[in-house]
Amino acid sequence: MSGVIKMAAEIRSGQTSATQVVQAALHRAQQETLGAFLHIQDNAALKQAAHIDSLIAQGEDPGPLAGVPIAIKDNIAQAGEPLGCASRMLQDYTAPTSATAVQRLMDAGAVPIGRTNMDEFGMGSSGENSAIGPTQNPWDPQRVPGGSSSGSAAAVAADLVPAALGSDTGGSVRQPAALCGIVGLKPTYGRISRSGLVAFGSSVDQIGPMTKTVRDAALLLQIMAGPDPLDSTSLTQPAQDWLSACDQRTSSLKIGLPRQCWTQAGPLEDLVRETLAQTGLSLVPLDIPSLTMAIPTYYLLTSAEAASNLSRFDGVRYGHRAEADSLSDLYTRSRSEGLGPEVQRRILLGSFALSEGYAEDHYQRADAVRDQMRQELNAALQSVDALAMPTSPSTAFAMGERVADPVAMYLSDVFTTPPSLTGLPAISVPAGCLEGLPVGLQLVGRMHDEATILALGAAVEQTQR
Amino acid sequence: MAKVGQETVRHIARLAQLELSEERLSQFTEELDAILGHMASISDFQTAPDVSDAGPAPRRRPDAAEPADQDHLIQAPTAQSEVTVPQVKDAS
Repeated sequence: MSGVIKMAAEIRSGQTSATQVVQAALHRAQQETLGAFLHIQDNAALKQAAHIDSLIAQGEDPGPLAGVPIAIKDNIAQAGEPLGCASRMLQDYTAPTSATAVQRLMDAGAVPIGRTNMDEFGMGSSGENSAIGPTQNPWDPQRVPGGSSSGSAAAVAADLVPAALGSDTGGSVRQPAALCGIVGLKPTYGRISRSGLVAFGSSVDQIGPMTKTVRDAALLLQIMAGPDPLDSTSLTQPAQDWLSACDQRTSSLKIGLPRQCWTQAGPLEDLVRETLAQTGLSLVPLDIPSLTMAIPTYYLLTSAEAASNLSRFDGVRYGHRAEADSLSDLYTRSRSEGLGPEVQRRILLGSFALSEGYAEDHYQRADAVRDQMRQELNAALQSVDALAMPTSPSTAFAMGERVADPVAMYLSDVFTTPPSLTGLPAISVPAGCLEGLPVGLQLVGRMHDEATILALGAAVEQTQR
Repeated sequence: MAKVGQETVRHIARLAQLELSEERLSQFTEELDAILGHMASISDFQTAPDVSDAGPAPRRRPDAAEPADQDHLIQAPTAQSEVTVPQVKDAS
C-alpha cells in the first residue's frame, strides 16, 4: 500500500479517487481479524471521501491529505463518533466535538475510517488491557502489538491504513510502533493540542502520528501542530516545514548514548547500535543518572494525575451508571463496574501517592526527580544533538506473558518514559529485525527540535532500504 | 517507603470510590506492595537541592463569557429546554 504522501498525490492527480481508496480501506478494516478496530464509520468516511472527490472535480484544492484514510485511537474525539477509550465506562459515549488534531487532519483532506483498539484509558504496554479484547501483532498473532496505541500500530503495520493517530503518555505511540515495525512520533509537550484527547496524565499526554515512513509522520505533524486556544498548554510557535527537515544533512551531528539505557549487552542492543553505526553519525557515550529513576517517577506522577483526571467518571458527570439506592453507592458501583483492573490499580496507586502521610515520600519525591531529570537531559543535549537508545528493552512479547506481573509490564516503558516526563520530542524508527520481529530505535531531541530527530530518523530509515 | 497492607488499600479504595471484593483486595494489596517496593529506590536517589524546574507555565485565556456549545447536550438523557436526570439523592 502507498504511504500518505504518495496516496494523496495519486488522489489529487486523478490517478485514483478518494472514494475508491476509502472504500478499499473500509473493506480491509471490516475484514481484519487482529482486533485493531473497535468501530468502523462507513457512512461518515464515504461522505467525506465524496466531498474530497467533488472538490477535485471542481478544480479546488482538497488539501495535502486529500482522501487519505486514517484511523483514530479510541481516546481522541471525532464529533458524532464513539469515544470509548476501550472501556466499559464509556461504551455508550459519543463525542460531541472533534479533537483539534482530528479536525486539522480532516480540514487537510484526511478521511477517518474508524476507531482503534487500545489499553483502557491509555493504561498499558501490551494492548491486553482493552475491555473489548486484545489486539494481535500483525507480525505474529500470538504476540502483543505493544500499547497503549495497540490498534493504531497494528492497523498501520498490517496496511489497513497508511497512518493512524495515537496518544503517548509514557511511550504509547513509540513502544507499539517499535513492536509493530512502524514509525511513531511523540512531539514536544504542547506541540499538538490536547483538546479532545481524554485526559490520563495531563502534564505528559501528547497526541502523535503513527506511519510507515518518517516523512509521512513529519507531514502529519506539520498539519496538526500549532497553537490552539482550546488547550492552554499548547505551544505558541506555529507549525514548521518538518517535511523539508527530513532532507537535512545529518553527517555533522553528534548522538549521545546514555550508558543507563545500554546495559543489557544483548542482540537487541547490538542490532540498534549497528544500525546507528551504519548512519555514519558520531556516537558519544554519556551519563544521565536520573534515567535509572524513570519508572518509579513516571508511575507515581502519572498515576496521581490519573486518579484525579478519572474522578469525573462516576456515573453522574460521565460514564456507565450502575443501579444504586444512594448517591455514594451510585458513585462507587458505577466506577467499580465501569473501570477495568489496570485502571483501578493505577487509581489506587495514584491515590496512595497523593494521600496524607505518603505524598511527601512519593508524589513530591517523584516531582523532584522529574525536575532533576529535565535538567540532566537538557544539559546532555547541550553537548550532543540528540540521544539514542532502543525504544523498548525487548521485541514483541507473548500474549499473557506479563499480565500477572504489573512491575514487569511497567518496565516495558523504561526507555520511553524519560522524554515523556521532561516534555522532549522523541521518535521511534524501525532498526531491523531480531528472530523475525521488528526492533525500534528511539531518538530524543532538544525541546522544540523535532526537525533534528526527523532528519536523523530519515537517515536511520535509509539504512533499512 | 511504607509497606502496604490490606487496611491501607481498603482505605485508599474508599477514598477513590472503588468497591473491591475480598479477592480483588488481596490481589491489589500484593501487587501494590510489589510496585511500591520497586519504586522504593526513588527515596535514596540524590537530587540537587537547587533543582527547581517546573517546565513551561500554561497560558491563560481571557476570562470572557461565550455562547455555550449546544452540541454538548447530545449526551443528556433528554434535552429540550430542560435536561432530565435520574434521582441521585436519597429520598430521605
